[in-house]
Amino acid sequence: MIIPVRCFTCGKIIGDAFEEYTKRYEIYKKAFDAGENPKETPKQILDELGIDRYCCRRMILTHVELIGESAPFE
Amino acid sequence: MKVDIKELKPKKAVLKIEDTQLYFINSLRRIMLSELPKLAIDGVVIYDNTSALFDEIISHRLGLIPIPTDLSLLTFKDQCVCKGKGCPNCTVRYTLSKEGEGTVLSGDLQASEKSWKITEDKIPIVRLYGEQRLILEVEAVLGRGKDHAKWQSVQAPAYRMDISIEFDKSKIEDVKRIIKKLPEGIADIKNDKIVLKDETKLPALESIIDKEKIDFITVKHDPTKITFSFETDGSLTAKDVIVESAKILEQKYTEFVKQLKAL
Amino acid sequence: MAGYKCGLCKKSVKFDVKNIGMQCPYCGSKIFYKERPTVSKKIKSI
Repeated sequence: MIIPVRCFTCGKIIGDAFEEYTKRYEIYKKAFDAGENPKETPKQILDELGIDRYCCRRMILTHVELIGESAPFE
Repeated sequence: MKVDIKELKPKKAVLKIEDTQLYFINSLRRIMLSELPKLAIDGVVIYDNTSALFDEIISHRLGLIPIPTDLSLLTFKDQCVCKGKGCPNCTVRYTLSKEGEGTVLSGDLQASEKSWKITEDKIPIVRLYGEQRLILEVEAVLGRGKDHAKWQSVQAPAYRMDISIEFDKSKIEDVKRIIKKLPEGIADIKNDKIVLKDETKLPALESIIDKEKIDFITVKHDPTKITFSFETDGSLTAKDVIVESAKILEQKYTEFVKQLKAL
Repeated sequence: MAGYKCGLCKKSVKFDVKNIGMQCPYCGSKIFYKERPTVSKKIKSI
C-alpha cells in the first residue's frame, strides 16, 4: 500500500528513504536500459542513504507502492 | 573498566569496553530496549479522514514516528501531578490538517510548542488524491519499550567479543588454502594468527570451518573485551541513550540494596 | 434519515428509513456509500 514507517525487523525509520531511493533508481534504470554506464547502482544508493542491514534493505527493495490503486475509495 | 568511544554520531554509537563482563553489557542492552522512556503518539482524535487508508492504520503509522524527547522536562502520565488527565508536564499535543493532492508527511504535524517540533519530518503518513482530506489531533506521552515497540528508542543494540584466531603451525598450507576460499581481502596471516579486517565477517570463516570439519583453526573469544554498538531512531541522541540507561540501571541497583537492608 | 453518497455522481443524498429501493434522484444510480459521521473519533494508537 504505502511504505511502512519502520523496518519490520529492527525498527529503523525507513519511510523517509523510499522516495529518494525511487527517484535515484529511475535515473539508474534509464541509464541501464539505454546501455550506458549508470552513475550509481542500487547498492550504492542504499549505502548512501544509510540503510546498512539487509532487513531494512528488503523493506525498500521489495516495496510496491499501491496506494494510487485504492485512492478512489474513501 | 575502560571505555573507548569508537564512533559517536547523533544516531549511532560504537563503544569499545575493556575489562568488563558480558552480563553487564547485556543488562545495559536490555535496559535500553525495555526500560528507557521516550515520547510517542498514543491518543489520536480523528475529525475527518477521507483518505484511502483506515483511521486505525493512520493512527498506527503516527504512533511509530519518532518525537524528539527531553527526558528532563517530562514525567509519565500516570505519575504526573495532573493524575492522568494530561497536562504540559506529561503530554505533548500536535495537530494535523491537510487537504488535496499531495503526501502528508510527519513534518505536517504542528506542535503546540515549537520546542517539540518533529525532526524526522520526511516520513510519509498517507498520500492524498483529488479532494481527500485528513484532519486530526494527537497527543504524545512517555512510555517504555516493554509496553509497545513504538516506545523503543534504540535499534539493533549488539555486542561482540574480541576474537583471536589461532591455528596449528604445521598446517599452514591448509590455512592458506582456506583463506583463499574467503571473500577477497577479508583475512590475513599475521604473527601466526589469522587477522580479520572486519570482525563482523567472522561468520564467513566459521561457516567454512563448520562445513569442512576443520580442527586446526580455533576461534577464541575474549569476554572481557567487548564492542558494543547501537542506533537510535532520532528521539534521543546516542549519548543520551547510554547515559540515561546507565542511570536507570543504577537506580535499580540502589533500590535493590535498599530492599536488602530492610531484611 | 441516513446520509449516503451516490457512487456515480458523488452527490450527497438522504433517504428515509421507510424507503424501499434506493435510487439517486440526480442520476438514477443505485450504488451508494454510507457517509462518514461528522463526530470526532478517538483511537488509541497501537
